[in-house]
Amino acid sequence: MALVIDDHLLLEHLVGRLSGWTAQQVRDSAVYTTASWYYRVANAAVHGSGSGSLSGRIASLPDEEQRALRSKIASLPGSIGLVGPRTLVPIMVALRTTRRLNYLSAEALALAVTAEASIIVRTDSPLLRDACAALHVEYRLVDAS
Amino acid sequence: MATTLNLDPELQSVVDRARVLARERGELLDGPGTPPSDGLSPAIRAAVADWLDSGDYDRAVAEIVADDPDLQTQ
Repeated sequence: MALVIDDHLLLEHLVGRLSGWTAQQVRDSAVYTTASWYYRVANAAVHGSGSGSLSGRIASLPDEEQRALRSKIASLPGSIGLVGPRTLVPIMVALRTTRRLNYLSAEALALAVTAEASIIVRTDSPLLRDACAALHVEYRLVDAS
Repeated sequence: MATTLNLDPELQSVVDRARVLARERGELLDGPGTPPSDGLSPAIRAAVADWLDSGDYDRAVAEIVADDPDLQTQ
């Protein structure tokens, strides 16, 4: 069993915050994410500033604890699968969908097809959902913890 | 969860080749891995949870993708 998780779920997975059905699925599955979703997490974590940012929130914590989090974001743990464009781009361009998928959606669908994985997301993407349905890729929107 | 794909022959051929290459490159996982959250303090976990729950993460992502349609949730 394999899963492709979106950026929200990736972040929650990285800090062990998943619960219930989602946590069980993640525990029992090979877990992948896409470069696009990983990029969103890493970019938001690194470039935010001010009290609402991640760096602002952790600024008062010990340096060692901050480094542990930054390390996980800067170098994604090997237990999370990340398949590169050499593999996925040929599939992305071979996908035939009723409406054109953007890079993020095409990458997610190509990854799911390659890994024979289901896609689970916190944020619904109607276009990706429809494309998954056409190829019989399981797509599930999960509620927030 | 399980997925039984419905791919046309042309796409199936591309996917079959990609799987072989992905396996050769070590990109495919053999099964569940160790939890990636080991080594993080409760305070760090709480800070990330607050970042998500407050909507600040979503706002940061909205800024990042605003000018990049290829990174937006469609």
